[in-house]
Parts: sequence; C-alpha cells; structure tokens
Amino acid sequence: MHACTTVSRPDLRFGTTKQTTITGHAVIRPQFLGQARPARKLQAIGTAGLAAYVLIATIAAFRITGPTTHPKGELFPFFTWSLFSDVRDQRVEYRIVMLSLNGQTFDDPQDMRDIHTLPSFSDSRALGYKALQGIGRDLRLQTEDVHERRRHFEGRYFGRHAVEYQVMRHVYNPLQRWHDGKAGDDIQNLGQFHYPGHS
Amino acid sequence: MRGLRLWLSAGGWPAKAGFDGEAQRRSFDQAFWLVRLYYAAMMFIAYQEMAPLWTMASNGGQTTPLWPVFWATNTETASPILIISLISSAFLAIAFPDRRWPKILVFLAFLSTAAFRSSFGLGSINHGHHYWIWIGFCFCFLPTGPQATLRASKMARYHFLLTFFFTQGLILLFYTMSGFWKVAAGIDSLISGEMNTFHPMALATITTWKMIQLDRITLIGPYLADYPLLGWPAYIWVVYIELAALLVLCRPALHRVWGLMLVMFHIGTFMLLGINFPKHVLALTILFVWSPFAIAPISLRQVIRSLPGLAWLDRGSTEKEPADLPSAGEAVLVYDGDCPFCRRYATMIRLRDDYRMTLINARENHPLVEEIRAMEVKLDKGMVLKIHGRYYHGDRCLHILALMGDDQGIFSQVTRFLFGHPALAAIFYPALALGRQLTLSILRRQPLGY
Repeated sequence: MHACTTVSRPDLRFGTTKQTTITGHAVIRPQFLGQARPARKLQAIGTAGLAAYVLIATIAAFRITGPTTHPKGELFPFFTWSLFSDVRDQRVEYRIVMLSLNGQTFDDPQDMRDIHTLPSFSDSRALGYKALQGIGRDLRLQTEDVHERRRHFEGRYFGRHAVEYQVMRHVYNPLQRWHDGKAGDDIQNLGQFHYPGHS
Repeated sequence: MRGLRLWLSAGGWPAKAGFDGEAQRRSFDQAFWLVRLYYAAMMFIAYQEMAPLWTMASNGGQTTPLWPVFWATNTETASPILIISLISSAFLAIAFPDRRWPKILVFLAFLSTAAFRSSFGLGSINHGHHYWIWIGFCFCFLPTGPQATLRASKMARYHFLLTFFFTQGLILLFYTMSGFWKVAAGIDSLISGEMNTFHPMALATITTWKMIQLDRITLIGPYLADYPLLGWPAYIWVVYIELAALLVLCRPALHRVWGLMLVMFHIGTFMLLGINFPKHVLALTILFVWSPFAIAPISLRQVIRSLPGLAWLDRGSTEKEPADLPSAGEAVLVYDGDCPFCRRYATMIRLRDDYRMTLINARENHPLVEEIRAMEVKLDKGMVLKIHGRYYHGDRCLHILALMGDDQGIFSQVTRFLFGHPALAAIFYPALALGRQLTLSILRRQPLGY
C-alpha cells in the first residue's frame, strides 16, 4: 500500500468535480481515456510509431553490422543511439601522416589534422575523423571498393592540394597514452599514397 | 496488462495534467506556445546553418549523398539551394504558424540540410541534428488552426497534447536506446572479461580516448584522467537516467527533473569529452524543462517516489507505513526541555492536518510525566509520544513522528528519510542519544535522572 492523497478530479462525463482518493505515485489515471474511440486510436498510432522507430533503427543497423551489442550502421535518420557503448581499453586509431604537400617535403612528417590549409576538417572535425577511420579500416581489410572510397576521401579532404601521405594504424590504451604519450603504441604502416590534387 | 500499464506509468497513462478539464486547457496553452517557440528556434538554427553550408560549398569535393539529398552530388550547387530552402521554409513556418504545409516544408528542408552535412563522412553520420529532425516530423501531425479554435474543442486539445506527448516520448526513447546499448554491451564485455560500462575506469577511459581522438584538451577531462575513479558513480548515474528515460514520459513529477538532468548530462559531455550538442539542450528545455504535463510544485519525496526502479529510496512510503501510522487524533510528546536538540526538534515538527499535538516538558510536573515514570520508561534515553493510549519511546517515537510528518519543507523530508523506516531509526537513534548526553554535559545541565 502507498500513502493516500485526496485530489479534485473533474468528471468529464458529467462536467462536475468529484473527490477521489489516489494511492502511490504522483500521477493519476485519467477518467475519460478509453471512452472515446478516436482518442484510443491516436494513442495506438503514437505507440506504434515509437515501436516502429526502434524496429527500423535496429534492423537497419543489424543489416550493416550484423547482430551485435554495439550496432553502428544507420538508415538515416533512424539511428540505434548506440553511443559510447563500446568501452574498450585497447583502441585502434588510423592516422594520416603527411610526407609532402604541394611538392614540398616535410622534414618532420606531419599529422593531417595539423595542416590547417587543407579543407579537411573545417566543416566537421568529428565527421572528418570518422571518415578517416573508415578509410583506415577499409585499407586494413582491403575491402572491394577501398580504392574508390580512398579517392572520394582524397577529393573531399585534400581538395586542390597535391599530397604524399601514409596511413598508419595505432593500437593503444587511452589512459596509458594520455599519461605516457605515443611511445607505448603498437604502430603499423598500411601504405603510402600519392594524390595529385584537383584543379 | 493493466498492472503492467500502471507500473509503467507509475499510476496513470498518459500524464494527468494534460487530460483533466481545466488543467488540460492550461497544458494545451503551454504546449501551443512551446510549439511556436520550436519554430522560432528553427529560424535561429536555419540562420546558423548558413555558415557551415557555405563552407562546404567553398571546400567543394565529391559527396556520397544520403538518400534525402540524392540529387546533391555537386556541393557548389547544392549548398546554396539548401541555404535558400531552409531559410525560406523557416521564415514561412513563423509567418504562418497555424498552417500545416510550412511545418512540412521546414521539416523537409532541415532533413535535407542534415543529410547533406552528413554526406561527406563516407558513410559516417553526425547525430547533432537528429532530435530537431524528429521533433519537426512529429509536429507535422499537430492539428492546425488558431489557438482559440483548437482550445474550444476537447478532441483538438487532446490531439494536440497527445502529439506533443509522443514527441516527448520519441526523444526519451532515444535516451533509453542509448542506455540500453550501453547496458547490453556492458554485460557482453563483462562476460568476456573485458573493460565494460560498469568498470570503475570506464568514464576515464572514454574521456581520454575522446580527447586523443579529437586532439583536444577538455575542461575537466585531464582531472578525470588523473583521478579516474571519480567518474564511476557519475557514469553509472548517466546510464541509469538514460535507460529509465522512457518511463519518465508517464511520470510528470519527473519531467522537469529529467529535463534538467539530461541538460546537465550534455553539459558534462562537453566538459569531459568536448562534444557539443546545443540543439539537444534546446530541445530538452522546450520539451521537458517546460513540459506542459509537469506537475508543480513537486516535493523531493514525490520525485524519489516516482524514480523508476528506485522508489524504495522513499522508505517512509513502503508497506510498513500504514501499519505503523496511527490514525488521526490527539498526540502528546514528552521531551527534555533542557536539551537544546530535543527542544528544537519538538518545536520544528509539523504534523499532517489529521493530528493535533501537545508538547510537555519532562522537567515540569505533569501527570503524564508521572505516569511515564511509573512505567519505568527512561525519559533520559529518549522522548515519549502518546497517541490513542499507546506509548512510543526513543527510536520508535522518532519513527512514528516521521510518519506523521506533513512532508512539507526540508526538515520533514529529511526526518522522514532518516527515520521513516523503523530499522534505520534504530540505527541512527543511539548516535542522537549520545549527542544529547554530550551536549548536556558540555552545557553543565543535569540529566533528568529517570
């Protein structure tokens, strides 16, 4: 049993107010719900809409990533909202190391994100990063369309600039990397590429 | 089925405030203006979108367009088209707020803009626009017409409020899904013996990973990296508020609380991870902080009692309460008037309207004091409450008084929380009795001696 509270509740059928005692939580069961068919229909449509969203988002994601506990794919704008569900202490990061830009060779190879003349991350840093991770994964797995996707990436993120670059794969522990730097990373070179730049 | 529905809604479905006569009219008025506010904010957002869309046009390059912008293969043409359509539809939505077609236009324009902005990620999609897209979609189903016309019709009001209600539901569903996947993946990793959602270092690991990923030092991320365990309770709480979000839909006592907690969650996300979700914060403020269904004013107790799965925290309202709670009537409390704590406590108690209480100083001559002494009950060891011929002493006295309290004000709520359960009252009471004895000796006052 819960504590009782007395409230005034309008009786919508007769236009009067009556005292009703309710128990428990801070909400009450409305009187007239269920009496009007259109009202029930609207409720059913709303509930079905919510259920449909979950279903579409989950099926779409599973079709891309397969059944998993951290689905990533999306049928825009149906998203599973699986964000930060994957809490691993071993992370993989793909980086682009620039060896030369417009014919000028760097003495010290530079991280792509530090070259501010590139259009790369000017409109969305996060999206650019995600795209780079996708290309890295494709290169590692040598997917069917890896070269086409790499060309798309270069066109978008290097623009008119001619670039000589390497794609590197780092495996690291985030907390360890934060405290000790990149020295503890496991690094692999996935290849060296040349992009001539578009006019 | 009815039991399940009542449990889901904590007593009612959908929220009471929107569906009770005059309260429904008030809720409708509020929801109506919140919808207008959404479209005013949309104008602001459309204006803000111009700069990034133009940057995209200048950057050029190939896109892999998402389906809503299948035609946008050339950024230099697509960007200006989207800027013009978004601005003009947002303008129409505020110029003709009582029509449906501007709402549909602005939804389509915003959907296309968001799709276009995610068309450069080679399959990766940003989720900063999703809330706004879906709210716009739901609002297309609102009944249209001037406020006075809609207000006059019970069914139109109901339709309007129910659409608003399910819009809230959809946004809460997103959080619940996010919480669900965190828990599911957490259990999966826990079974495999890997780092997981429930691990004490989880939040610190995510934070450092994100700072490394975005090559950015956040406001409080470095502190968490130095003291990783500090993030543990916060992260577990975040998982809880996400997972339970959908249940809050039918608990109007929690609408504002959850709205504020989710806003704080996004502020925390920025401070820790450097991820910015301004549109989410705006949507949460419109839909929940100012929810037309929110019950106000709400007490701490109402909030605790409505917490999904955590109602047991409100110990005073458990099954034992009605059994212990005396029926309405006259009560007499005998306390030590020389003890400052007892005197203060006795004067601060506020009982429910059902009870009347007389206070008696145990140091004065009173027949009831003599009666208690004759029963060999030690007043030095605690106050005595007499009601309906029954006597309650020490921890039992505080427990019964906590149950009889009116729940108004912090004092009543704290005493209810501490002494609402007899076992807890028994645990806390000896410390209070010791404190009383020490205080009397410091003040050089004699104990009662009986």
